[in-house]
Amino acid sequence: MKEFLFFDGAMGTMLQAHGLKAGAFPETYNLTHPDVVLSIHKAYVQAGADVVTANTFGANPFKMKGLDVKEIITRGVKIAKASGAKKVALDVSSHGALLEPNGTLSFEEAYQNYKFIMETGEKAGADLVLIETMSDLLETKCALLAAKENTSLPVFVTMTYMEDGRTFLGTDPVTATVTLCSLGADAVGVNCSLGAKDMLPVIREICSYATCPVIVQPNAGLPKIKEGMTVYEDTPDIFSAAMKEIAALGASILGGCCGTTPEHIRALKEALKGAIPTPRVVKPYTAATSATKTVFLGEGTKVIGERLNPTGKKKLKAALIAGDVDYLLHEAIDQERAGADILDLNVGLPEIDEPTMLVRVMKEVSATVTLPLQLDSSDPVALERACRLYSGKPIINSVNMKKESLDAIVPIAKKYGATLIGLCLGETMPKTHAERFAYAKRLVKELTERGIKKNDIIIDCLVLTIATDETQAEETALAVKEVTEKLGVCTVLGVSNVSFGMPDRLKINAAFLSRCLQAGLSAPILNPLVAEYAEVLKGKLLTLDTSSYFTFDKEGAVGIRGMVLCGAVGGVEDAVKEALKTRAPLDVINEDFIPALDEIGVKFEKGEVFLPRLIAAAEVVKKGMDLMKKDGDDDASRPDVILATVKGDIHDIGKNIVKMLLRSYGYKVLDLGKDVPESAVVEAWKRTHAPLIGLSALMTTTVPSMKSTIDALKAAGSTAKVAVGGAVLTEEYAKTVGADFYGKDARATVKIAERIIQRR
Amino acid sequence: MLDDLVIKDALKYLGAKEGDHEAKALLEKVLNDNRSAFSPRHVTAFFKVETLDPVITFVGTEVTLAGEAIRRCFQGATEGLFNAFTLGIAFDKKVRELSLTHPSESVALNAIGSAYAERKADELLKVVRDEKEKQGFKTSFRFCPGYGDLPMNVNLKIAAALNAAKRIGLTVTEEGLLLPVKSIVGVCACIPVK
Repeated sequence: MKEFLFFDGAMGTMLQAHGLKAGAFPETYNLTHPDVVLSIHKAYVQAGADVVTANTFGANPFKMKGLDVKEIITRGVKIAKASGAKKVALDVSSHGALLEPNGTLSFEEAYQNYKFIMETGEKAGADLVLIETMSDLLETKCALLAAKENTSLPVFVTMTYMEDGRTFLGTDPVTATVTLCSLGADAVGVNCSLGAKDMLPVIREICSYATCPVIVQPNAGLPKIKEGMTVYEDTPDIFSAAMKEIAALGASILGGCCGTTPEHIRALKEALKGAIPTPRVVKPYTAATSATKTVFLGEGTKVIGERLNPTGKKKLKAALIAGDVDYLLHEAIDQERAGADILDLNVGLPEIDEPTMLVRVMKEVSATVTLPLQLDSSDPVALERACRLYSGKPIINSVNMKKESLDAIVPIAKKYGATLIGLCLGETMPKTHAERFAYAKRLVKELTERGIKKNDIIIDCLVLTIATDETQAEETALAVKEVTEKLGVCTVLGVSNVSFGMPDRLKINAAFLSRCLQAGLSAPILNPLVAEYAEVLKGKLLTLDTSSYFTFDKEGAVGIRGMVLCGAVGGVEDAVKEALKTRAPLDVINEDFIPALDEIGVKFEKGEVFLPRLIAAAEVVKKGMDLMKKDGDDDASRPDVILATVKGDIHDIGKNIVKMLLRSYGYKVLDLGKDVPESAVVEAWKRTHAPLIGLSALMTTTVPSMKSTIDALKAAGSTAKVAVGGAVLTEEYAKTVGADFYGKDARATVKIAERIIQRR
Repeated sequence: MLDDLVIKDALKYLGAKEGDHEAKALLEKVLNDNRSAFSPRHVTAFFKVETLDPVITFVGTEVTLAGEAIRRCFQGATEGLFNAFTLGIAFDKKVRELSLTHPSESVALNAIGSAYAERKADELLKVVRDEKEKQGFKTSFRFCPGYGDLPMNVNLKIAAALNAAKRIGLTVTEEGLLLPVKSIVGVCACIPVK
């Protein structure tokens, strides 16, 4: 701001001097004593106030039951306008009741009251809205949204802080400032509270983080009781001297609160005569807030607790289905005590109504722990509702480069001022660090063009398991380094994904975490209760050496069978060529390849070998089988199995492993790819009449697509058996979606195929 | 000293006997563990009595106190000392958190909160009361809405006269219930000593 904007001072204490009873509604004076109200406004205008505040502070249908609140507000604004002030502010404050869950007032009821107030005030001619003397961040957000959504007026917001630097409900000035600026307040600051001098520390903090002008309206000192009366003792001189210091910190909208008079405002104007607002430089920050805490990302490592997510957690899943929120609250408390900085919250399950459950759990977790939340969902309805009712600035997890994701998620993040995680993913799955970086770069560009501030973007460089590709850990770490250094945005990673399907998961995860922290990772998403991670987070360095998992004992690699068992690709072609000189191809398959695959499959089932070995075995078989292929073997017109990752899901690693193993066993597979619409699966079956269809989904949110695909197949008269699989699937889900079989893993799917298809 | 009284009262609220060492140890533990959740604040104001009969009213307020019990208390009074106290919202949150992790501690803390609120409110009020007594007044005990036949919804008007929501963060529901939970609203009669 180039010039100071001066507000008026107190109204309530002035009216009390004119005979207003303690505890009575000052706003009724708009109807009964309009001349008194007008004279006070005029006195402030004469003292030099640019803005007078209409006498509408407590005019709220909630408080003033039985009174004509519309008329009180309308008259209040009109009296203020008649004062000749340059601008008139509609004065809005708290309901004087606590919102749920602290109290009984619902957000929606509060919103409707505020909407009524804002619309009435604007219609009466107010030039701006002043939301003031607020203690509850959620109620403040509610009022701000009501103003933004129902008027075109600028909105200034101030909260009231106690001696301990917090509001009655525990909000600190940094948290309020970060949250309210993100929500689009046109000015933020502080009013009432303490005397001007005592407010300096609070104002210093607000000025360090406010990305909009700062407004300050202190009392004329701390209230004291003298001879039974409340008095404010700061004289106009004391007040204006302190206000000068406040202005020097960078506050540019100044006025007074309880106990201040036109004389205080006159002295304030005089003290700042000829001065201009002190310029402020606010360093961009990436933050998440709860109602009482701000976490800045990019300053040291911040841990995002992952335990409030049903994927792979049977007990949590059962608790969600049963509606046992207490179980989730325990998890939240445990993570907070273990040192988490932020909690990820995902309640996506096919059995539950996600929008309702996300809001319910979000509210209860927020009321129980102090940590900011990361709302994790791909359901825009759930995210919208949860963001709206969240007391603070949440993180949204996540958006990706697909247009439908951008179109659905970005407007929510923008409207509610959320920090947004951009996942390095789009139409394709990135494999290398360069591909990840390219996605990150596109995300930052696209999101900023769509109105998200760069510092409100966090990039998830996408962790894929090393079980299927040993290079993925290092590729991800390199991407983190590149994103941090070249794009200058914060990064997150779901650390434990790196070891999916591997042995020694904690060991691998901890070493991967160490590597990524060295690469500059801002916020790992992990289980904060795991001791191995805690040591790494404290600075213990680990080296990620996965070679032992991928180097198989070649000593037993004798003959085709031995080569399969050991995953020794090298000599298999020669061995197969040699065998084919004396044996029929089918004999080689049935006597060597299949028994070897069975053996390794049994070991996999028992947990004696892990995914890398199973894949290596399949690779050996593929190489050998390629030599025996005849023309027409790859003919997709007569497949045994149709495979697809269902609509909305682009995770296809699992499906590809199944494909590989099925082919190793000699089945013909038609792979429809990922994100496959129901109609494409139906069409493929009509064309081929394949006896088995395999559907895959990784995310809970895409399980419904399985059901719709199966329904569509049944409706089309399909006689194919359907097997479903994927990380979130269970035997029970398989039944729920109407599948014939549940393929726990690739090996299980081969067994299903064996039951219904004669091997060729 | 205050702690001892609080523990003693809390034992009573829990229905435990004074010699119940286990209950006492638990109460001591929760009191010491959770002090950071206590933010006691109070606000007081004197108002001159306008009428004593048939109802008690005060100059400059909209408060009306009706009922036999309060009338007896205010016999001969010329002023009323309005007072409000709250232990703060962080306490409520702590009780809720403990109910999930340590239910017995939650129950104990709840009892401690009630006892602490009463004792602390009295302690803070005593300073104001003593001052008044020096001026030649006798002050009555703290009479709270809900005592005798004084209805709970009187809390609303007393809290409004004290501007308690703005001054100490105490709110009153339409039914007259106080939030934060450990809060007190009351009035003392100030009777001139002849």
